[in-house]
Amino acid sequence: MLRYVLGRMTLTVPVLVGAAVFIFLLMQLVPGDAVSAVMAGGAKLSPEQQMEMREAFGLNRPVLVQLGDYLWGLIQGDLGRSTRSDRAVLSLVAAQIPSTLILVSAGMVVAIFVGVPLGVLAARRRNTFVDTLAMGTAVLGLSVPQFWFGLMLILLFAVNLGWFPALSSGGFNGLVLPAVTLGIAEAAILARLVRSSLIESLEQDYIATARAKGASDRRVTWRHGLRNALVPVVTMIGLQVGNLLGAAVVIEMLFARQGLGQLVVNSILRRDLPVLQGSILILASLFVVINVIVDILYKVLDPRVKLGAA
Amino acid sequence: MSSSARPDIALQDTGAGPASLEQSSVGIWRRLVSHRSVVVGGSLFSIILAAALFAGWFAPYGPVDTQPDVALQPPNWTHLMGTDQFGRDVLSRVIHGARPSLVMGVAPMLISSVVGTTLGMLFGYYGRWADLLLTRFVDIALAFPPILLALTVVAVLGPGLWSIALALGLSGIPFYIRMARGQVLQAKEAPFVQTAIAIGAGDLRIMFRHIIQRVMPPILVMMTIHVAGAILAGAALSFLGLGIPPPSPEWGTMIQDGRQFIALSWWMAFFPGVALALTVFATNLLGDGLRDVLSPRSKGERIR
Repeated sequence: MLRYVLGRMTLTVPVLVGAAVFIFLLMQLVPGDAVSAVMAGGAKLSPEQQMEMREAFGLNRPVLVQLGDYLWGLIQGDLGRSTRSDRAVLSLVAAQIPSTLILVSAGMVVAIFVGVPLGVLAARRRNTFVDTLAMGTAVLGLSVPQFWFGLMLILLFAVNLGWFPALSSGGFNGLVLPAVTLGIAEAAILARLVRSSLIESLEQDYIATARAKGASDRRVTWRHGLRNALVPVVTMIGLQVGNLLGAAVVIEMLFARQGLGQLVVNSILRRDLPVLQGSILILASLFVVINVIVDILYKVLDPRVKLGAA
Repeated sequence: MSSSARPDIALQDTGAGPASLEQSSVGIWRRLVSHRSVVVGGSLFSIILAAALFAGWFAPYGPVDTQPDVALQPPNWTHLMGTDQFGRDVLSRVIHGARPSLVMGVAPMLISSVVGTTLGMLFGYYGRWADLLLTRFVDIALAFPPILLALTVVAVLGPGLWSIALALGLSGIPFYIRMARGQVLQAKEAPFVQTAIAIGAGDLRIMFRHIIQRVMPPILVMMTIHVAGAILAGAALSFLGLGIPPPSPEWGTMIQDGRQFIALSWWMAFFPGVALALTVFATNLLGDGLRDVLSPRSKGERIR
């Protein structure tokens, strides 16, 4: 087991290095550099000052040298400095990680607690009105734009009822609306998957055995059927984390909530490339790391998965 | 081995592939038009497509005509969906907003499916080191949540409708590569392909006559679902202020506008969102129906 975990973690290293190179090269394509961005912000610089600044940021060296320098910095935990505030990118990004992780986890909790029971309900009553209604709701949930759904929640629960704040400044009350907004679309995906997966596993022989031994319908579904049905569901949850991290960017802007999303969007609007580069790299790394954890969970849930086949 | 010994049987076998597919393609069509999701989704989508193509005929007012004296009016008989802060008719703007939304849905799908499927098929078929390299690249690209990748590309290209379309198109490519490549690897082992190789069919013929039949059904399903995802992602990027600059009507931007006035006039954000949801709902229904008919066993993956 330990060997599997270590092996799986080693496999992520080339992906992470590749991601860093990829994002670095992408940033090279941005028209204009840090200096022109600062000047667009209203600063008046003489040609000599511009030269000096390019010198200070190391912008006039060959791209490959800059890349090597960037990667060497990454190893030492140096993500560069913001061209706007001159603060270290790492500390700017690190300060925002907890807020985004809390939001994503809360969204996942909502997704699981809404999606799994809905899927089980639809599977147990399959081809009835309840099933059609549950799955219809799920397709609708997939079709509603999250940022709009969140805005409607604000309208209802913040503007009209006043139960929760419209802007998420922190604390539990401020987390409820963003988490529901984030979780509901993923709940729809989960519900559909749980339904099809549970229907499949309820047709297996061992389910008939369990029923023959006198287990109640409820026990057969939740204990015997669901356990097997959860294997593809866990894989899907891993894939969905990427969606959640991506969607969190938009939701954070909607609720004016602190986090990596705000950092990403603001750094685009302010053309602060080092911060954009750093925050996107961190988001991608979070995604990769969470997927490793999911792979390990997968192994725990389904002992049939071969250890070597990562 | 028996195929080389008795060529008549081999020919029959290869003949059976395309012939049965032709037969079943009639069956597929019949099953499609009798599938409930396809019918409902298709009709809904046609209406939206009509709105996108002939917005000027349907819309009661111009999309950017301002009438300051009727600003922020709730829905009424002259303005069915109310008016915005400049007195523009929300209904007219919603109708005109269909076009950019469909562009943001369809253009990325075309870019990613053509590029991704071609690359996936070629590299999956010829294999070797290039395939290995491409697979590594796909792994790296998939380490980024798609919308983040698109966000970064928009940062490179600058805001606008076409840069969003291009960004979403590029960020979707790895999904098609992976799907097409996987299908090719499976199809290469299938008896009808092995037979085609045995009777000496050329690589191109094998790929574009035989293997493509295995590749296309899941790709088609992916394309429909991709349109739905791209419409949502495009609207989200516009909502973040990276889309078409005002005053042009676009649903994501209209929702952002409505956000400022949410306590005062809910209709500004409500109706564009409904239009967006209906469009995506129609596309999702089409995709579900297509999946039921074409590849009932695939789980389906969403690109967002």
